[in-house]
Amino acid sequence: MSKVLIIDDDQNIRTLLRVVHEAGGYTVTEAQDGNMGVREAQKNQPDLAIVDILMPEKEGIQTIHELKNSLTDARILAISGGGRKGEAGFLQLAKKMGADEVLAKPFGVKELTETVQALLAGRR
Amino acid sequence: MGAAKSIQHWLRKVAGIHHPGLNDEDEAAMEMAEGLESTLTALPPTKGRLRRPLTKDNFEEKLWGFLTAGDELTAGSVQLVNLMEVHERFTRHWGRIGEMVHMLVQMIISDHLAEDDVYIRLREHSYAIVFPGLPLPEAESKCAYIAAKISHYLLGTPMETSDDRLQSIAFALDEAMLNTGDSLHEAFCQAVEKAENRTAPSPTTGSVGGAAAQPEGPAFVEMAAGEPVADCLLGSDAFEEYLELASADTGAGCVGGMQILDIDAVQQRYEAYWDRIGEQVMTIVQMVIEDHLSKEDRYTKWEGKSFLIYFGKKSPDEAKKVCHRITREITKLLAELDSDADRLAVDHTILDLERTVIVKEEPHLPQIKRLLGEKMSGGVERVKARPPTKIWSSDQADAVPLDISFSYWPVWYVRRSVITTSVCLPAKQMPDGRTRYGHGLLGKQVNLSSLVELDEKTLQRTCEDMSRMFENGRKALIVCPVHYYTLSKPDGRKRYMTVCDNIPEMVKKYLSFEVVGLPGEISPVFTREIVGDLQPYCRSVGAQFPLNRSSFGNLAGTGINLIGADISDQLLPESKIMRLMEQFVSGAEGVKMEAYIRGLHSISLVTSAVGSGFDYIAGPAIQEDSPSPDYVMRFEAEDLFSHLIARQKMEISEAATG
Repeated sequence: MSKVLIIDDDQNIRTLLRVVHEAGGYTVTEAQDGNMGVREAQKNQPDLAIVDILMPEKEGIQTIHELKNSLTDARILAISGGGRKGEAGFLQLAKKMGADEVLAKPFGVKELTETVQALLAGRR
Repeated sequence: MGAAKSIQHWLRKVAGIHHPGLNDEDEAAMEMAEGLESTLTALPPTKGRLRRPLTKDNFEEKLWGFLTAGDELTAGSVQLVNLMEVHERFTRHWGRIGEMVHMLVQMIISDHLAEDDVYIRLREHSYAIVFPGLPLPEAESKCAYIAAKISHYLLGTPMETSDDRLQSIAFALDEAMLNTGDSLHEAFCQAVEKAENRTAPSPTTGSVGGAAAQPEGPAFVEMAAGEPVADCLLGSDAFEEYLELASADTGAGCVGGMQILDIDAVQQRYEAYWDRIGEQVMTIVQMVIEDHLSKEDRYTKWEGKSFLIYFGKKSPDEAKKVCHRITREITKLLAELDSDADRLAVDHTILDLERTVIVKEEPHLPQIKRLLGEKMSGGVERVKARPPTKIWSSDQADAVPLDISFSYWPVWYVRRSVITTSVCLPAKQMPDGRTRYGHGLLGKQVNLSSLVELDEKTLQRTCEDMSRMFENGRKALIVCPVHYYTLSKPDGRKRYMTVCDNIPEMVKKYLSFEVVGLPGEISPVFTREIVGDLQPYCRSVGAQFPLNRSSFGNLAGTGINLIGADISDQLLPESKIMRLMEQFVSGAEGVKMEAYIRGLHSISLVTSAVGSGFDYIAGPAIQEDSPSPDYVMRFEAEDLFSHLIARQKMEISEAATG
């Protein structure tokens, strides 16, 4: 059974992602910021990390960079709705910094599950 | 009453339709009150914030940004909104309503601008709008809609009718503008002129739009088309000339009453918001003054804070009484403006407005002439006050005994993904191996002399490098830091201004100053004085503040247009810095200024700075001792992080081996 780590400061998003992925048969763990996410990843070695970009404490770009250093085998999916001005192009940046796939918020459940399945299939 | 109808209603009223049974004065007061009330409540709401037209300097800077944005070089378009039709319609009353009309037009334009679009007021009655991301056909459609909306509100045409009387086709943003030897603004104006000549309106489209087409009918048109009345607001020369003529007519000196209406206190009261509502306040004051003048009266602006009013056929006592009526009226209308404070985000401080407009008597022509003369000669003397000295020889520059080098730091313009400019920072390798920048290299022994020396040398070096770049056919915008402490002391400022006097003209166009260490509680007047001294030597002035500052109200109207923070020495946890960055940017946006941040030392902080909405962020040094920065260029997003990633990898590697 594949393990999915969700790193997002928004409780609602975490809950939504947990429900969707548990329904799909994955084992899910959560973290509410980058620091906790990196610790959780080192502890549980997930197959996939879903990382929000803008979070307090340690944000997504730094988190992705650190996950890439510590989890050589895991896939990373970056999700973001952009910054206050929405001009940052965070998702392109996340891809350049090591994310395997990106999704812009808001996204649909179907789009999410298909992306996750494709990422995990590629891993195998 | 709909907004458009209400505005036309007000325009008709101030245009002179009379109500039977009222004397002129009562009627004027009633019309003015009704007009202002309906206008303030009926103006169409701006969807976003009201964006004022850019100043010449800011516009030039934006153009530069558009034109140097790589592959978008020729994508943008420029459109012209011409208000001549509106002006011709309301010629008689333009002095009274002109600025209000402009404000309405600006609100409508603001509502249709995308984030990157900008506009500028050109000449008396036109606006140029730059749509940097739109090709000509789309820009034309957008401008046609703006013109139709203006026409609907001001001329009464149906909204669905396309009104090409107000819109001129313009031109595509063009690389050719970059190649001109003139300033960008001049090149832009030439391009506008060329486009206007190319698309001069035909006789059929150039008319006032046909009186018969106006829904308000012939009566109003007839009045508006009546004999023009001379504008009663005169320039100081014309005002003096008018007094001379009045004096010659009577042969007995200047008869009539002369009053000074001092609005300094009004300006101070709205100081923090002057850039947003100053024009509106001044319009109100002028409207009230004009409403109380008869055809023999004239007035002029007096050093920006007062109005000098000449009442041709009134005794000084009568003139004083009228002036007091004007005062009361202004007070009442400003109170209405205050009641609209929430919409304008003005602090609701209650003041006794009756006391804020001061009336002074100034009865005779000789005194006026003396004052006018003093004003002019004072300006000349001030310019002559500093003897220029040549200090650009490198020998002299090297004679400054500070043992420092210089480092250029790129400043990324986040929204357009370009390196927009570079900061020239003095740098010094310390005994412990660390490099210190700015005044940090002076250690704890900072005194006025050493700081001035540092600032002088930084400016000299900046100008030398820029001159060298220009000689090699390259251009770049450079920021030169200067300490507030240097500028706040008479000796320091004198020394620094002496260096400024020798800045080559070409350099001035591409040089920005960054005032470092401006105190939080500094008087806006003193800030304006400092900035005013720097402005003739540069294209813009910014200021650096501590990151924990989030209120910049006292900078409005001081001439500072960019505010930033350096966080290189911040020892706070990253999450706290992130929150402070959010607040800092919100504060900057509150006074409509752009914000920059320097000294970002982790990936998280760089991303957070971008996410917080900083317009500019300063990256790593281009090289340790750069002879000159390169030409403005695009950057790749990962460049922002490359040095941080390299450092992090080194730390991980050291930790693993150590």
